[in-house]
Amino acid sequence: MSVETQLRDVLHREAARAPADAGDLGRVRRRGRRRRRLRAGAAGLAGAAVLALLVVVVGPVGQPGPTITPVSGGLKNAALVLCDVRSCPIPTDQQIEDLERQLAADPNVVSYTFETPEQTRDRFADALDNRPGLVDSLDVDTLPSTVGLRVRDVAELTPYVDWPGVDRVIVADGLPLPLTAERVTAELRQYDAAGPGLRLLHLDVVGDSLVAVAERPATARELELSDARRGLLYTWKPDPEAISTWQPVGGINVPIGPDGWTATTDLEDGTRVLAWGSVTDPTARIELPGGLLRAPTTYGITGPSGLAVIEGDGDPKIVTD
Amino acid sequence: MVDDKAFEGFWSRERDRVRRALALTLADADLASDAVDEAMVRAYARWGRVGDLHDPAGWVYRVGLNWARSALRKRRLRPTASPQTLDRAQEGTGPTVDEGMDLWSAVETLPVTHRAVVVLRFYLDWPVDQIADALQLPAGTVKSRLHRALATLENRREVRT
Repeated sequence: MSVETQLRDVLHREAARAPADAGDLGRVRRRGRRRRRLRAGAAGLAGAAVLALLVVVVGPVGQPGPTITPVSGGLKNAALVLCDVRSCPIPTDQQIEDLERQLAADPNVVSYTFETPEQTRDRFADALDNRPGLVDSLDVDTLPSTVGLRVRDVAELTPYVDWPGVDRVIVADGLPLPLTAERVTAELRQYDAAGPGLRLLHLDVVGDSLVAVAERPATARELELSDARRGLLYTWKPDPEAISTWQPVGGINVPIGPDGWTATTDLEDGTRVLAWGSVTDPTARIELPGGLLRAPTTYGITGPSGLAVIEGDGDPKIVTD
Repeated sequence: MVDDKAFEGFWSRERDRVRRALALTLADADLASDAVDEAMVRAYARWGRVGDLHDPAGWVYRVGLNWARSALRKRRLRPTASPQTLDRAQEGTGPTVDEGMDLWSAVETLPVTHRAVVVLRFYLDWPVDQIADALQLPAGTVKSRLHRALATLENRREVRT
């Protein structure tokens, strides 16, 4: 018997052994309708008051082409999610050209960058290979596409918008420059909950703004963003009442030598965060006499840098042999 | 508006076939059920476009497979035993150590990219072009993966005998 014939027999036999599962058509329809409403809502973002941004929407295939909808306010620097790669068709060349023409003609737009979802996927696929520490946090199959804009006349910043397919888009600006995507990392914190954490779908920097796109399961406690050189930049607490609160927790960078620094920051719950970076000595390690390192190995993306959550007394230090 | 009747017909015709194909590909029946439902939700949400595709089942298979692989990546897990195998163990019958079982064990060791083309070709009996369309691969890539997968399985069969 040929291997092909035998393979057919074996696959059909194994498939027949799979447990019966009729599925739930009603549930699938309900979820599908909800997702469709979300997508329809995104297509009509022009009227969404929550977006104090310059919004660029690429319409689905067969619908009108891309449009730019300036909403009151405006941003000096903004990074916008163009669409979710899971639901967004790849724009045609003509759509991209139309979009670029409109951007170029808009007096508020200083500069812009644009990429298709496929380009975003490719860019992050490469990035993931180079940043193994972020593989758990970034899901390349669901990355959104982005367009970065530099817009005149800052009025206000809306820190997040709802977007189909993702639960949160968080934009922070006014971050200390220079800031590059290569140096910025996000750490997901769960102090007292098991299970899956907040999932970061996308992290990018445009100018001095940063955009983080994340799903937010109920168990997530905090999202912290850090700069590999500056340490902890912002803490985001997913409190619905304080959803817009990006809390800069700062810290004082204390040089420990020509190639490294550390900084500690007190959090509200009494714990402290130790941030370190640029420690190129391979023997570097944390010592904490009298204290407990809760998460001592959350390394950042640029090598021996990262964050550690500290409990108890003690004076954390980065030491080398 | 979604053509509910058309979607219901598609669901009735394809959902179970695609689910079983995913179960074979992923060697995980529970994950396959979740994956096919997630893909069906997405298909329903944009049925106007998906329903007009030449091969909506291929679209659902691909979306389900991508979703499942993404879920596996997040879990940092690889399925180690098929639920079918577990079912047999629970039933007390145990796997029959025959040539077919050896072949299935060999299939389970194939990379998922090769398993996908093997399942679509020899379980769903799709032609190469349809597989290429479903997986968004060049037809040549599908052929080479099939060739390599079959060579691997043949080689393992010869080693056993």
